[in-house]
Amino acid sequence: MSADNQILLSVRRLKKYFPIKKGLLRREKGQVRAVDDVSFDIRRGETLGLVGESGCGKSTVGKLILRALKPTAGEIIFTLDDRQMRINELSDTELRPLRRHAQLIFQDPYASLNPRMTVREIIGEPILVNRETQIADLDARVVELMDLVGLDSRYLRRYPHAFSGGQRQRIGVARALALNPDLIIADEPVSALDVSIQAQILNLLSDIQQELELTYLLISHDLSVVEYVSNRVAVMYVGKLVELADTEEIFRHPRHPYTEALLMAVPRISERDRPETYTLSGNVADPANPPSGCYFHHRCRYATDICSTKPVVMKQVANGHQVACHRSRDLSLKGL
Amino acid sequence: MNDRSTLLEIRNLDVSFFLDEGTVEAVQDVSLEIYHHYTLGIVGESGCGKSVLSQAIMRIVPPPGKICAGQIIFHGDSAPTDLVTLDGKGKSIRKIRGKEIALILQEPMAALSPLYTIGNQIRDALVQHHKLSGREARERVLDILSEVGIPKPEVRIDQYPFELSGGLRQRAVIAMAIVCRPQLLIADEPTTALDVTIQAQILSLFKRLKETLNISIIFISHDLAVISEIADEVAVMYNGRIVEQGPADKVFSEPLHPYTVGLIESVPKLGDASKERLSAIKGNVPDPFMRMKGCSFHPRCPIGRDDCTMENPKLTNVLPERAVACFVVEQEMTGTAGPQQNAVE
Repeated sequence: MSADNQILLSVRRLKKYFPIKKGLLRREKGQVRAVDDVSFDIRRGETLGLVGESGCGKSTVGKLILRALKPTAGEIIFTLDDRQMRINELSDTELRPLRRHAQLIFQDPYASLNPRMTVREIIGEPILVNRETQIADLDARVVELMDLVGLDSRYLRRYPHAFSGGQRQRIGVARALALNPDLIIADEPVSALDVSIQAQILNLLSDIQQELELTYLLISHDLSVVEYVSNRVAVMYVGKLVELADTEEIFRHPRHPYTEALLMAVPRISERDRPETYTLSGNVADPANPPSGCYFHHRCRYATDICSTKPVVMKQVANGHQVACHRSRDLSLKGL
Repeated sequence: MNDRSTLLEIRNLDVSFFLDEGTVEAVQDVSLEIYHHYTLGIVGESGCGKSVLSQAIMRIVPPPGKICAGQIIFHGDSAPTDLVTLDGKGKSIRKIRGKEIALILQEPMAALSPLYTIGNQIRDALVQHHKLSGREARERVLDILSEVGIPKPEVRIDQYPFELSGGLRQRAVIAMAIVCRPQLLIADEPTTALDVTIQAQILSLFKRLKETLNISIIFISHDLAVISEIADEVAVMYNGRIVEQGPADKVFSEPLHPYTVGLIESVPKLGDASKERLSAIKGNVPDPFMRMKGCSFHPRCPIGRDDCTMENPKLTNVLPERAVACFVVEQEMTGTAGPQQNAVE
């Protein structure tokens, strides 16, 4: 991590509502609040982990930052050396330069590579599209990228089917690196891989981060992966951030009951006979029809009257530790 | 271990798939014993043969797969039966399949029909094996729904799968599996498609059912932590073979086989603040079509020797209750009885 804590990306009050259309005339009958008033910063050189269960909106946040989706409201500000890009306002053509600076690594290395393109074409495509390199130099650049991610460059002209899952994910990483991006959004980068291969990819991601001074937004449901990779962690629940803090702090001293419950729910090899802690009852709230007050109150064992009536906002409770919980000050929650 | 009575015994089972591209030996020489009131965890990566093993026990190995050799002896209430000798579509296996041995799959939506209410589907499983009147069957279904922790069973019974959340669907599938009171439940990655908080709920449901119904469970997963939480005994599979077997706490605290050691070291552990670099297992899972001479883990093995390529190591008892299929470990353990660290180096 570079020492200067400079902010690379700022997300402010970001919202994305998807309309629910019903009936013959496709009238709008409601909204799914996939991302609802989310704010955070990513510092240059750090890894921010974004965790939450399926449907909580974490992948939507990633897509909004890359402007694969247009936000309903809010600001996304990308700070490069000399200028600021307000991503939320840009038109499609104005977004072109952004693509060089922010790239995505996908979850499924089988679905995210075109089976009809060779490795050379897959990795080279972003370079060609952005006219970064002369065609003559393209091969050299692709070989360089393949070396970087640990692929044998003799396989330059092979198709994705010739590679295993782990190698395919390396191809995906090389493609993301092709334009020397500043920010990489990795959306569940290892969850489709075999256990013995996951470690290879996690090690690769941390090696290239140091080598190329990359900044990561790691989106994952896997808390042990997030803890291992991230400098800071943001926890998301039903479209909202509920807690954000340094990794060590959030895992040792969670301040939100949902974070506590998540930590308890993860099975661990080392603590086989851990005491039967409480398991979170019920299901995730419906983002189309969220409950009143705090969205987590009906599953929360600490909930009081205020929790079901008054909405919560993120508040700073300690240096760099933000929580959205009415009772964060009087609860003492259990960490790892 | 002798005090426990055996429920299912697998002896030298071989299952192969005869494809145009070649033969895949999905399960090779697997022997296992499952006791009454007991959870066996089978852990391995994709393609290691763990699911085919469960299909073989149910006798539903899809063609072109075939059980080539071995025995699967089920000690039910009647005399022990070798399931391999039964006609895969015959009457006798149908009396066992679903009634005595039930299977739960990873994806609940694949096990449920979207066209029928869950009550209907659970009742179907029930009336296959029991003669019951409509009202009796409905009563039983309501009972089973509350048994697996589905709230408001009288409402849920008439709902379709799409109206249920993922966790409730998996509970409905479990209800369908246990409604005939099987003696053995095979659960193949039953929590993999679920979120962590829901996974924790389903895992505690399995633990509870094991106690209340007095059943045995074969729990198959790629997730070491899940297996370590639920299993009494664990079998580690690699490329169609069991490479290590033993009590779960022992296997996870002092793994013997280099593959088990590698697997455990390659996953980040929650709460481990050291952030040491993960030691990944080098290389890839072997190509199923390739027939390897000798130990199939050899190309990836950190302690392999030249003679590992000569022949395949057999699963051998090296300590009480602990078996491992590795020449190097076996020699270290039985030859010079040094500490285990030496065996793995």
